[in-house]
Order: sequence, then C-alpha cells, then structure tokens
Amino acid sequence: MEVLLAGRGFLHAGWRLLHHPLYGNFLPRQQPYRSLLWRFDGASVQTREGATRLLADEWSLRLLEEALALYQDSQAPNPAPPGLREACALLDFELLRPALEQAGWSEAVLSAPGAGTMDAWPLKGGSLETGTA
Amino acid sequence: MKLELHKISVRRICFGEATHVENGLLTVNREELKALIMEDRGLAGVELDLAHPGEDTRIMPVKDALEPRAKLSGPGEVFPGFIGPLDTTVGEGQTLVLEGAAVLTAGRLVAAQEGIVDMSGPGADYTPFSRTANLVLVLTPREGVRLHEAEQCCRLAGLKAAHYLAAECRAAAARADRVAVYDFQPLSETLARHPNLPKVAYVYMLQSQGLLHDTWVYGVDAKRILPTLMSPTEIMDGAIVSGNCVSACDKNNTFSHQNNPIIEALFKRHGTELNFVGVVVTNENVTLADKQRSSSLAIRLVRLLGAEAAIISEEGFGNPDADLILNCVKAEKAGVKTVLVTDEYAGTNGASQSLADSCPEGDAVVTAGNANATIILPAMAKVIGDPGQAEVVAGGFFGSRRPDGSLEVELQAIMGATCELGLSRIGAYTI
Repeated sequence: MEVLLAGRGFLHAGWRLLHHPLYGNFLPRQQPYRSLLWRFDGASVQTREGATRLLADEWSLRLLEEALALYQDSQAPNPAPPGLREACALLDFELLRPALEQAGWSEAVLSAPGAGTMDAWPLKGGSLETGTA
Repeated sequence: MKLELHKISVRRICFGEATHVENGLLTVNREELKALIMEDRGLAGVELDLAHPGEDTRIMPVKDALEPRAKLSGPGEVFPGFIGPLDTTVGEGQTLVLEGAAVLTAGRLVAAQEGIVDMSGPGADYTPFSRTANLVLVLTPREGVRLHEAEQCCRLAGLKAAHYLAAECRAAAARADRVAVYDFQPLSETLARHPNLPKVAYVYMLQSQGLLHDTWVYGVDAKRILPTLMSPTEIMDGAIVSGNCVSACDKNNTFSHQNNPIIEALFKRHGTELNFVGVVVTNENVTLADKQRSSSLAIRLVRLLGAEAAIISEEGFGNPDADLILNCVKAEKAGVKTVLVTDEYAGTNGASQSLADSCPEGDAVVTAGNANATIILPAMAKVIGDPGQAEVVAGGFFGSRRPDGSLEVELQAIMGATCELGLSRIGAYTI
C-alpha cells in the first residue's frame, strides 16, 4: 500500500509507470513485496497563467488508482515464515524482469549474484514451515 | 485442418509389467516410466502414485494436469517443441486419447504456487480431476538447479508421461470407444460455405508474466510471441502447454488447453448458429507497452478474419484484467461484439469489486465463479505430495490447516475450481 501511494506521487511528478502495478495471480495479501519501475516522462502543459505543469499519464494513473482500491479493500499481507518471504521476494524480482529488460537493464546485471537467476532449488533461507515473521 | 480424436475410455489405472489399456483399465509399467522421467538430470527423484474418484485421498500441491495423447497418423507429434518436432505443425490426422485418465504433476518449487485435488468430499465437487483416474508424479528437483530449470524439469516430466502413456497404447487404437472429428476449414472455404452465419473468432489469452506464470506455444515462451492465428485442432494436439503454477483455480492447466470447452462449443455451433473463423492466441505480459501492443495486434487479427463477434477468455486475475479490458475495448471500437469469460475475486462475501479493471463496453461477461469463496476440506486418509503446502498454496493462508487435519481455504486453492475456459464443475443454467 505504501509503495503504491508513493508511486502516485511519482505519477503526478511526471513519471510514467512501465508495468502494471498489480501482480498476475497473486492477491495483495499473498505478496508482502511490490516493486514498481518508473521512467521520467516529463510531459507537461502550459497553464493559462503561463506556468508549466507536469502531466500525469492517464492510463498509469487509472491502473494505479484501481490497484490502490484493491489494496485498500484487502487484508494486510499475512505474516510469512522466512522461507516464504524469500520466495515472494524472488517472484517479485522475476515478475519485474520483463520490465527491467525493456528498460534497458542488461542480462549481465539481471544475472548478477543476488538476482533471481542465481537462486537455486531449494531456496536458501530455511523451510516453509509455518511461523511468524 | 481435419483432426480425428480416437478416444479410449479409462476408468482405472494400475501398475503392471507392460503399459497397455484394456477394458477401461490402464496398466502402467512404473519402472519404465520412472526411468524415462529420470533421464532429466535436473531431477533428483520422482514417485508415482495413483488416485481414483471417490477415494479418501488428497493430492497437493498439484502443478499441472495433462491428458494422455499421442499421434496415430498425420504430421508431427503432440506437444510440438517439447515432444513433437518443429519441422511441421500439428492438428491434422489422427490422435489417440486416453479419455478419463490424467497425469498430475506435484511437488514444491517455491511457495504460494500450487493446488489441491480432493478425490472425495466437498472439495471434489470443485475440481474436474476428482472425476479422472489420476497418475500422480511427485517430483523433486536436484539440489542446486536454478528455479527456471526446476520448473522446466517438472513441466517436461508431465509432458513425457502424458505422451508415453498414450503412445504405449497405440495398439489398442482400433478398439477406440469413440471417434470425435473436428474439421477446421480454411477461411475462404468457410466463408463460402456459411455466408449468412455470423462470423465468430476466439481470442485466447495466455498467462505469460514470468517464472511460474508462463505458457508455451509450440515450445516458445508466450511472452515472446506476437498474437498469432491458430487452428483449434492444433491446440487439441498440445500446441499450448502450461507452465503456470500460480492460482490453481484459474490457471489454465495443459489438460484444459487440450480440452478447451470454448473451442468445443464453437465447433458444436459451427455451421448452424455461427461461423467459427479462427483462434487468435495472445499473451498477458507485464509491461504496459506489451499490453498495448498485444491487444492491438490481437484485435487486428480478429478484424482481418472479418469477425463480427469475439469470445475473449482470460487466464488468471489481477494484472491480466487490464489485458482483458484492452482486448474488449479495442474489439468493440472496431465494431466487433465481445463476450468476456473470466472469474471473480469478490471477497469471501462476494460484495467486493470483482475485477481489477472494467469498461462500459464489457457488457456481456460470463463468470466462472468467485475464487474468494471459502470451503472447509475435511482431513483425508491419504495425502499424495506434501500436506504442509496447504499453508502456502495460493488460496490457503497461514493457519488454514486446523487441529483436526481439515483445511479452510478459498476456492483459489483448488485445481480448476473457477477455470476461465469453463472446464470446471461450477455452473449455472438459465431457466
């Protein structure tokens, strides 16, 4: 929720969202992470008074507002055991990968130690046993 | 493209010396199949088990479901790009189908990914795989393989097993219980034959967002394709393969691609109520640029077909709702009437917003049900797979496993419960 709200601020400051703010096939409460990728667009308009005002991308704004509505209507993410948090972080990265690639991030960067492709089965960080985090 | 599906009914599966089918009993040489699957160096192990309708058995976490099929004649082989070669297309000739049997792949890749199949009890009413005789592969990737490779190993194991079972039963094809014939004609012919029927296209959306959210078309990651035109018979021959492991209720498993009820219904009405002019396969990508590109090109194909109406089916939910709406708006603006097929996440009480996106043009929608509805699944005498996964499968939540062994889950956790292709057991009739 905080990430999306911060993102709304970016939108009104002339940044364009590069991907959909929701995951596919995860409910908000099923994912404690949410990364967003932006590009500065800087589209602007002159006001009658002659001032320059940055324009928010309409479609990005609509998708973001719809996502915010879903997050507001959703329970907070479940406390997750460490093993699950690691898996969620990995999926957050992997589902952002196409946007990162299109934004010009090279395969070398995306394959660097710590990036998703270096994670091997089974994931490090312990089991998926139930617990509080 | 004319395809004959030669269907042999299977009611039970057992292990035995030679893989064959006779009088509804599919016998499987367990060691031979295990050896075939273990040729993959990415796997550390596979256990084979059986589950039949009515048994006190739970299978979880299920990754994919597949129907055993193999070519009898005609070009290529099923699952092109994985099993079949790529020097030809599929969807013609004769294909053997072991109807009533399914291969289920199970095993843990990462958390929050997979689904439940109960063979009896209240959960069985929500999954089509409680009615099939199931051969279950419980797969364990080798330690250290990368997660993309682990997913691929599990996916290939299911494809190999589904093909192996049918291929080993080819000798029984002459005794097929029934033959279903699907003749998909070239556009020029079908337009000439049915000049007065409304032309209807099918826009087939595929999940394609990344690891555990992918689908494959002729062996190609669907996120890499531009929308393309296919004969529905190609899909029956396994041209579309699921690698989607998230949200069990509304991911389109490979079985549901092979047996897509929307395609079946369009064939049934073709030539009488409508003129089925083609299948436009498209993706559900992550970036907004891809969403615009794919929806524009998919609807361009619909227009080039001359379609007056389109059925658009979604896979999954959330982010793909935007693709569904883009396809709808662009089709309607082009003068193509649309019917959307989706499911809902309307909260446990059904009162919340159902989809993440909407549009006024989307005024004809078929829903496959509310995936947030909760259900109590009683404890089962036998669990194939890993019962601890109930805590982490999508639709489960921490604490969903109760002291008596029962589970409280949302329908999202159950394989195929709200299938957006209609291959589910939830339905409604207009009276």
